[in-house]
Amino acid sequence: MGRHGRRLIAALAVLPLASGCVTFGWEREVRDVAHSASTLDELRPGDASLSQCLDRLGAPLYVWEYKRDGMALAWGWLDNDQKGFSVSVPLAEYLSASFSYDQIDARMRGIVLLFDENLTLELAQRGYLRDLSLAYARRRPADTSTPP
Amino acid sequence: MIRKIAWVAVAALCSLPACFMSKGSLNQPLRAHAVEGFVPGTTTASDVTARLGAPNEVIQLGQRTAYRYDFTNTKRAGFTLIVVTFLNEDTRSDRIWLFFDAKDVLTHAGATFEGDETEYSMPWDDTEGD
Repeated sequence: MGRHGRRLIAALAVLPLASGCVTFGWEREVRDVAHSASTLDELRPGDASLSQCLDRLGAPLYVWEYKRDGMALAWGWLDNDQKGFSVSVPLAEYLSASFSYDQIDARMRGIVLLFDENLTLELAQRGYLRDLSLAYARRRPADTSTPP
Repeated sequence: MIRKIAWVAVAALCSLPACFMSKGSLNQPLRAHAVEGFVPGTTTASDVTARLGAPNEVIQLGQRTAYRYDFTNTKRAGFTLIVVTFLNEDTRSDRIWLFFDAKDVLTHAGATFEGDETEYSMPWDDTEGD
């Protein structure tokens, strides 16, 4: 076997290993459907009821307590489009990602609607859902006044 | 001879793309008719759990409560050609939130049924489907 032949065989051996090292990747992740701005604009604070909001927007992603007898409802959506070179294919990491109701994805955009005790829309907030949720997503602490 | 075989092998290797598709789901699909019989002011939390089973989450809202039922469906598609990789993940849900007053009587319901609208697609495809 000549020198060129050995080089080619070596190149062949390295090629499969190298293929996973430097790659161009285009990854897109879509979660739920964004509501149009016009739909959201139709829901006016001080006027829209909980029933109207549920009819227009469907089931929320999250529901939190707000001002004791009010409630905060959150709708969210994600369309994350990433292109770029990477030094490895993060396939396992990508595939392990999954939606969870317990943790809000920082990339998820959405809207939070705040309803007063009469269940009339009080305020609508738009932005990144995790940021918006900080004021409402606190779990009520367990009642420890009664000894076990 | 070896050189020719090697070049043919390289050419074949470069022309062999790999693709995959996978699907994942959480819970059972929800159907619109499951909530059609629920009447605000009449249906109770017991009626709901008798038909839909235990909710995935119960939230206390002052005197009120809210039950969540959901089904999540995810489809992933990928394509790789040596140093180029395309991955797409599409997740949609069926989701029902039912709101009850202090006496556990249904007051409001919100439902979304999009779980069967997930698609196997590439990143450049339009999958909004709104």
